Amino acid sequence: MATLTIDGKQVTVEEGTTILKAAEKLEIDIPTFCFHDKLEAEGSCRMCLVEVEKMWKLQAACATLVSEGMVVKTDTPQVRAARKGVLEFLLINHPLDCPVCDKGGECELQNLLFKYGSDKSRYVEEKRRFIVDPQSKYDDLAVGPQIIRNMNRCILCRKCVRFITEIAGEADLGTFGRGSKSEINVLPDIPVDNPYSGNVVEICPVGALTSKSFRYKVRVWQTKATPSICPLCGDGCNVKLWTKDDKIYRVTSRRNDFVDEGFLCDKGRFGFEFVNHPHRLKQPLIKKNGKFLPADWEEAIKLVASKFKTTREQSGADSLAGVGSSKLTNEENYLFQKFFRVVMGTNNVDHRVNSRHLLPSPSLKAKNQIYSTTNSINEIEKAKLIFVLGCDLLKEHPIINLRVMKSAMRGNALILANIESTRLNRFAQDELIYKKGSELTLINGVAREIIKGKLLDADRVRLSNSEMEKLREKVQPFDSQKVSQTTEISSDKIKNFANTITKAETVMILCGKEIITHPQSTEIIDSLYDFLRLTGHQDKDSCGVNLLWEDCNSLGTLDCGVLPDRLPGYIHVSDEALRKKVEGIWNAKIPDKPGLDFNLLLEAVHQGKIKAMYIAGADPVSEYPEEDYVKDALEKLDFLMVQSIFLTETAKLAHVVLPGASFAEKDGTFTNVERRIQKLGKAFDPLANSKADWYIICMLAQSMGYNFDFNSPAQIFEELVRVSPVHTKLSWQDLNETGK
Amino acid sequence: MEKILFRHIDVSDQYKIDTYIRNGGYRALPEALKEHTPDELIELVKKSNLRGRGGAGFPAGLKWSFVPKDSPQPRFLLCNADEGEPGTFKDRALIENDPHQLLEGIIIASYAIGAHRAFIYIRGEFAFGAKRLQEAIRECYQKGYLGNNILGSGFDLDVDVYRGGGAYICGEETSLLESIEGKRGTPRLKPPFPASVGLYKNPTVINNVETLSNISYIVLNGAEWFANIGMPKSTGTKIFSLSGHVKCPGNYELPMGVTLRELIFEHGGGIKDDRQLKAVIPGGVSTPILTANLLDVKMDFESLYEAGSLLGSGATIVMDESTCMVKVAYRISKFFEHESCGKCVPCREGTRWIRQIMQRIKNGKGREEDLDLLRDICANIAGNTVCPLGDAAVVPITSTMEKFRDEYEYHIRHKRCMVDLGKRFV
Ligand SMILES: Cc1cc2nc3c(=O)[nH]c(=O)nc-3n(C[C@H](O)[C@H](O)[C@H](O)COP(=O)(O)O)c2cc1C
Ligand code: SF4
Ligand code: SF4
Repeated sequence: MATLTIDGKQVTVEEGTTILKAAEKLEIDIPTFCFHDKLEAEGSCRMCLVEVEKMWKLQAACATLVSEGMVVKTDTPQVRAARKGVLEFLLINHPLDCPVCDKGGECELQNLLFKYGSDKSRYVEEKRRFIVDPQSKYDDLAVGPQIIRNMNRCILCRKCVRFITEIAGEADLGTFGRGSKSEINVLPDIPVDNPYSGNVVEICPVGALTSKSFRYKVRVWQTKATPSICPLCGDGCNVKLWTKDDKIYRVTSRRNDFVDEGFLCDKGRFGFEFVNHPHRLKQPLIKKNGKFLPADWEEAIKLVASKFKTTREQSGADSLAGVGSSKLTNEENYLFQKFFRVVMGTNNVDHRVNSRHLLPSPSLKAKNQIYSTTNSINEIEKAKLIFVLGCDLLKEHPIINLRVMKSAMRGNALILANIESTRLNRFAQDELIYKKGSELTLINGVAREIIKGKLLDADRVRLSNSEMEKLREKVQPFDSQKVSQTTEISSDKIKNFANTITKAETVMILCGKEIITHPQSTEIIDSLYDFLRLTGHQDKDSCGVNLLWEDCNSLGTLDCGVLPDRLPGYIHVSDEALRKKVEGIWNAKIPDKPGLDFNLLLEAVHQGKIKAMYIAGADPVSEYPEEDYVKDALEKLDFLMVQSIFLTETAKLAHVVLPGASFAEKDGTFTNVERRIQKLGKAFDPLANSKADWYIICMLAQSMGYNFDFNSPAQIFEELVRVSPVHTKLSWQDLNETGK
Repeated sequence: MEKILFRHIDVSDQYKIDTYIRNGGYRALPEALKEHTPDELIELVKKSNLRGRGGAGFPAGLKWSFVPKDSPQPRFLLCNADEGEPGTFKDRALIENDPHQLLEGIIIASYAIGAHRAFIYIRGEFAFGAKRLQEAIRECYQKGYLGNNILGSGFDLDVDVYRGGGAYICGEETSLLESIEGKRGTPRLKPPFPASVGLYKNPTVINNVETLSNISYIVLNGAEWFANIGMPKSTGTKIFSLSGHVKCPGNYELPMGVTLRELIFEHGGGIKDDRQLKAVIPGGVSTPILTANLLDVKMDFESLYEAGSLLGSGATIVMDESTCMVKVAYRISKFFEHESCGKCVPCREGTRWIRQIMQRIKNGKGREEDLDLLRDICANIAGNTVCPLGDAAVVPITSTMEKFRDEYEYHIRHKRCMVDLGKRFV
């Protein structure tokens, strides 16, 4: 620790802290342009110059480390003169086109000039222009599909280039030329087209980089920023939705250092168009003579309720089935499964529509843990070795991908095992390309290699003698020749891998979609746990097996019990004591026999055992691997109700379609891959005559004679907390800001 | 006085290893490797008080001693042969005529700091010099002066020549590091200094060609011998690159502390066409200009500092009475605008602005308020930039404005040059 004095106030900070950070602690504001705390200090804008006693010239606060007894002054005549000088230098060539600049209202140059600048210009020379087209008076240049550059406005803080190289690990944006001719540009025919490109628009302090989709559409101060969560993958990046008149104009990051560190992928940043898409469903539809006709809510709800009631009376509760969605909120999914168990009286409820196989199910070894990741996102960069299995991280989890890249760039080892090479390969120490389906063989083969090759350090093994014996037996058949044949990986590579993973200090395993939807997913995950216990990488920080669930609320939907055999918090329906407790809260009886999972449901439909179905938010026709099989099944139903925001392929088969609301139009929570529960924010009311999905479920229950008396997702969440062991101790209030 | 570095400058094949050896070369190397520990060598160079000849005059031995002794990281020695300072042409002469003298210094210095890899970063335009060096390095490997187990001492060293990218800024030591690493040549923030965090983040010593060329003689003749040459605090000789309005421009190796008068009139043969001396830039364009009345100043680090200028790289640019100081300042401002790397705001924007104003004044479009403005701009640059180039860029402006203000005012008021009245209207 070091104690220093800034502007007469003392502060004690850790060694290695910069003056800027120390001043922040004292709430002393030091202006900056080129500083970004996730980028290496550049110290080039010279805006943060401060006086440090015993130093003969001003020092850049962003890059100067504190020392014991240091005396810093941030507001002396010399400092003020230097700041004013920098602002003048930046302004002399800056075009005064603020009225037409997209950054207007949130421009750091504008803001700092307002605070520290002079009101008159001493510059009489011709301003510098970076002419793109001599015929045009505009100097705009498209440097990527999403990004427009106006070099005249650039202050050359290089945050954009530094982001691209230091964080995104790419090289498609660079600094060209020298001195006052320096410019930010791309190489001919190589546009900035990486999956993180949009961040440079947000990082740029001025209007030098703007996004095509937002330019000239609206002025920032006319929009409202609503905090929310990106719905496009399981990472759960925190976002702000910028809206005006029920329309989203742009999405920006809302930095959460537990999750996204202030960055978004382009999918999340630019992929909001669906919210205001003209094809959004605007009112209930009822199919008459094969054609959808608009209906009002009362009529539609009445029809659905009566259909469900008669089906239940005629064919029994188990002839009804529900399919929820990992894209709906926790509150909606909780309510959905409760609706089936309480109102319909059946456990036939599931949401796992994207696999022909049962997804990994809780095993004895890891109990309920198996559905979650065992490590936090922040632990990723601390692991000495990251092993990615069956996952195209960049595509599936762009923001986790950034963390993994960061870890690799800092010198931690990264090994990939995939069915084909992925973009992350360039950061990996090794990439094992295995034949699809041979994952289990690969893992068992490596385990055998470790045991046979006597690579083990006996002290590290976390298996009892009998467990060890069992494992030895299990991996016995996987001799290296056979493994090499099955996986199509050379035995040398496998040996190497066995060696590396045994020697590593800490090992974190990340499994993607390929594993989660694998026919042997449960066995694979069990084997991975064995594997970690064999090499002593269990129960340590930054060690563990992590399932990276795909959708924005995959983990939450599991946690909320949209499962045929599990109540919220994974209470097994046959577990009498716990079930009774839930029945007490619900004031209703819950069937004690597990219902059918989605694959069995389809079979049951084909066999005529399921007559009516309620699909909320899901689109199994598009998501299930065998389209015709689902289609046939759904067409066989006596009655199908689909709740959706678009007329999906599934919705087209429905008898009644109810228009739900997008994530931007409702409150609620999503649970991300690290089981962080985060709040959405309602930016505007559900479009036209659509309604929030939780509200629709309540209406339906009401109409069927049950009182689902909830006024808000907050109330639903508080009940979920009482019911589910996974959610205990949480409260709606706790979820503000960073989530929990 | 006997020359040291230029003793064999006129031997036409001194660049060949055999000639170099015949003339007494590679005698210091075995002595250094076999009779001295690295620490002893550092101590020796410290005692000799050899100061860097690249411009800043930092004591070489002290710099070497900053390399952490216990670090497991590899260390590097870099020879700065970028020679970009306008008016300086001494390193080129040393490289082209006596490359082994430099290499012997490099090998000894590498041994002293524990480097097994050295680079010579040579100005891109010096194609001939680069070839000479490469050839000389090849000869060294052949003779066992480079490679593994040099002269049976157990010390290994490889030397590579790296040709620069063509920017003045790459001569600045941290930009040079970036450039060798294959990046844009822009300075790094200091601290950390290269001696602890240098090439690829490893401890690195960077020395100028002339600095390193001195090393073998210090080993052979002792620290005291060297310290007795020149001035007490500026020891040894200095190669002065004399240019401008003198009869015999060229490189002159003279003891530190020689007077400017002796340099110009005895060695340089006096002012061209016997005109009047007007001003001298004593150490390259980034050092303050001296007026003719200071002819008796001694050319060494301390004396020039006291006289309000700097020794810099020893590039002495002589200007006679026909020289327009506004034009000089304008020309230098153009150089700095062109060579500013663009990393930091005051230098990038300020050097351009200064050039624009200088250009106007030179062309008779100056305004009275421009002088105050120039002074302000210079003040806003000086001391506020990442590297010393920014400081250097304002020196020619402030020093000519201070010493030749009348010429500036004349330019502004009469819209023409004061010097060559009647000849050149602007
Ligand atoms: C803008 C700038 C340009 C420089 N150019 C050179 C150069 O061309 N050659 C050189 O030896 N040193 C140059 N230097 C000085 C180096 O940064 C460094 O101080 C020197 O190489 C150290 O060697 P020395 O201690 O032996 O002098 C330059 C410095 C600055 C700020
Ligand atoms: S484009 Fe923006 S972020 Fe990039 S250097 Fe210029 S001002 Fe900085
Ligand atoms: S990583 Fe996922 S959650 Fe984050 S912005 Fe991209 S799509 Fe959205």
